[in-house]
Amino acid sequence: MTDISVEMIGISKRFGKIQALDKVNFAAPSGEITSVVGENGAGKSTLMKILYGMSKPDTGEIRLNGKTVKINSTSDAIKHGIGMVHQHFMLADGLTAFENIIIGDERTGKSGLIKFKSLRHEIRSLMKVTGLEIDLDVRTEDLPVGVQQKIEIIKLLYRDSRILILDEPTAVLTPQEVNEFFSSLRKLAESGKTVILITHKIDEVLSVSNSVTVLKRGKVIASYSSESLTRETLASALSGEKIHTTRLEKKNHSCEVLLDVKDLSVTNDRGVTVINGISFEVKKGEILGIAGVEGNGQTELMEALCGIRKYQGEIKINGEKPNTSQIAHIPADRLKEGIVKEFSVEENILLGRHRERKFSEHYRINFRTLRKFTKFIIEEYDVNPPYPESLITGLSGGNQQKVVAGRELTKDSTLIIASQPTRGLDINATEFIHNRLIIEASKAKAVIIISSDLDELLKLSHRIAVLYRGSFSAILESSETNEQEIGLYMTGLK
Amino acid sequence: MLFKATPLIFTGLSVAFAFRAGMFNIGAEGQMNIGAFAAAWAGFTFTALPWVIHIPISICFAFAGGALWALIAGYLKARVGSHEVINTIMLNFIALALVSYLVNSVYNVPATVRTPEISPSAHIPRFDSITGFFSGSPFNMVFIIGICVCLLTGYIIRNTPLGYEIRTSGFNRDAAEYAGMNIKKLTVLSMTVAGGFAGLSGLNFVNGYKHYFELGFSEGTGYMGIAVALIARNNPIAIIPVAVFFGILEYGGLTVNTLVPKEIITIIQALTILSAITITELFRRRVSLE
Repeated sequence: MTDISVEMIGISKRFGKIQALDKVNFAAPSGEITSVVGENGAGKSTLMKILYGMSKPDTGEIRLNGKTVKINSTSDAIKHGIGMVHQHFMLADGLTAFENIIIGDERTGKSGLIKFKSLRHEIRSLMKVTGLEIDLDVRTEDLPVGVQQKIEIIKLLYRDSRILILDEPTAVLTPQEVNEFFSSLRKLAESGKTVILITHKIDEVLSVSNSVTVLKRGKVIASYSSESLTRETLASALSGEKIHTTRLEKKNHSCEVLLDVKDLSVTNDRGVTVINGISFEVKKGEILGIAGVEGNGQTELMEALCGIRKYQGEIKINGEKPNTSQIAHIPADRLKEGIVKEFSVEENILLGRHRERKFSEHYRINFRTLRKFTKFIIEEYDVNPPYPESLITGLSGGNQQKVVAGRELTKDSTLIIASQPTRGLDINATEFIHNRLIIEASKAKAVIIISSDLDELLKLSHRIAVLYRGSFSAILESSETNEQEIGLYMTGLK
Repeated sequence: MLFKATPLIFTGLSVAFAFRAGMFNIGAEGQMNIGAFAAAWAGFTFTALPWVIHIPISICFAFAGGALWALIAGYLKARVGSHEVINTIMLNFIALALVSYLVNSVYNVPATVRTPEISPSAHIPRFDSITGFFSGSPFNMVFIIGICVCLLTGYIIRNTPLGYEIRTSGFNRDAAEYAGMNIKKLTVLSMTVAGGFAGLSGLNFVNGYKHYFELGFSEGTGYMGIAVALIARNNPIAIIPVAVFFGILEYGGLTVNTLVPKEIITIIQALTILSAITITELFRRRVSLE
């Protein structure tokens, strides 16, 4: 018998009209890896935020090793040995790995000074035990995300966290890094830690976890131990019903060049050149995937193509200088760039299209047309709840993304740029957006998809360009390559 | 009472409008001084104009004065990215010093701190002289201008593509930029218009009441505009009743002036405003939790 390390019993939480969690029971035994899976808005993050003291449950209790505890803040959680690695890392740029590890818990000796030597020794032995080896004296901003993630984990171990919560930890990793990461997780579990993994990737769940809890609309709908689990049972539990969209296949494209980019160089906000003289072309009806570890120039490349960042070199659409109204763009960071949280669904539909003749006449917004058009998108893109006037933040992430996709893909465009179009979306929404992109490409448009999900790129695109340190390390035919090969190009090993 | 509310309508609207575009205009005080001086200058410089021309010209000068002053702050923000709070505070100091110089050394009426009187053709009529109501109160037609400007602004923000751009840039600059809006242009434009609104608030005193510009006339009305805008939740229409509420406070203070020390009045006013802000804020939270 393993002694149960974490138990959450009858946890309920309401946000306004939405029941985010409804009497959820969850257990994570020590020495095991427990996965929490579910669609967008199923309550995974809310549940973990409650465990980590970032949010208070309306009812229910948390037991650690059988004892009921009150966790009112993150510092309470840390005191109880609970640690969390967030999806976006919380490292301080400019500090070294070592400094980042001890930050917030700088142990001092009698003199009042930080005990650098013995701390360093302690961290070294931690690294040896867990196999998470890193160079302590490098500044974290220069390190690849995989290493940054190790730092985050060591940070938790240094604080003697016995319960590790990891929120979508593999979203930013290459396939090679994922394998390495999983083996470290197993080691940690073997040493008696309780590891809780939040994810929505079925393969990950199957390959590492000992047990799985499936959440749907705030309720636990199933708990499995891994032995009894197959891909099919988990997939159907996740989507609730069978996956109901049929997958479209990509079509052949013409040989006519639509987008022609020559010697493109772009600098970032700090003036550092991050795209370094790249050239490529996209043909009519072609889908070009751009792979790469985040932070290799994707953002800047995309902004240059959209015409909102200055560049050197040449970008031509059908042989002419592009006009921003020709480009439809699904931004990577939906909340930051794609929507205005304070606006309603229909006001968000208007975003970037407010100067189109049909939406504004005589200096006045045509609200009637807008309402009609919003209803059309809601129907066409299956947006739920289907109210044009409701606030966009009342929708789940997936539905917000459908609104953004609907707005952009219905534009009268010739080039479509989709950055991380399905990040954080559940299976059905992902299939839906994929099909839409394939349909748009078949209308002789050029489509560029920037994504860290290699599966998605392999499935959708005709060719895959791998961005590494501002250049293309390879442009591959997607029918002739695989995840492993792309992974090698992503890390510059090939 | 309504006389006291009039300038607050304009400064409140000024702050609210800038807020809508995502900026904090602390400079209404300075903009209002410049605007008032410009209106006074137009009043005493052009003397041979009929009122149908002179009054609109004065209004334009008041607007242009405030707008020009805020344009500097907006331009600095758009061009070099210096924060508008600093820009507008500093410009307040400069504005007060500038009008003080102009009044004391250039357009001085000996032994006073005011300019010469404006020509009668630039007088904006008082209510009591037109309607017979409000007799004895300096309450004047500038109040009506204020209401019209608020309604118009409300319409523009709500119903025009430009207003939509302003709201978008106020809520989420990144999204606005990705949607192809010119943020710099919007920054300068919104700040300038906000300054123009603050400039108009000088009309109440200069054209509607004393008929000259006097140093210190603004009495912090520009700063009070921030409170008005906050309570009105930056809604141009809601500015009107909130400004009237503040006007009541001011007027009440004047009425009991002889009975209690001035400090007590100020304290009570401040407490009332604090409670009003707290209550509206609590109420809003109740509603949003609902």
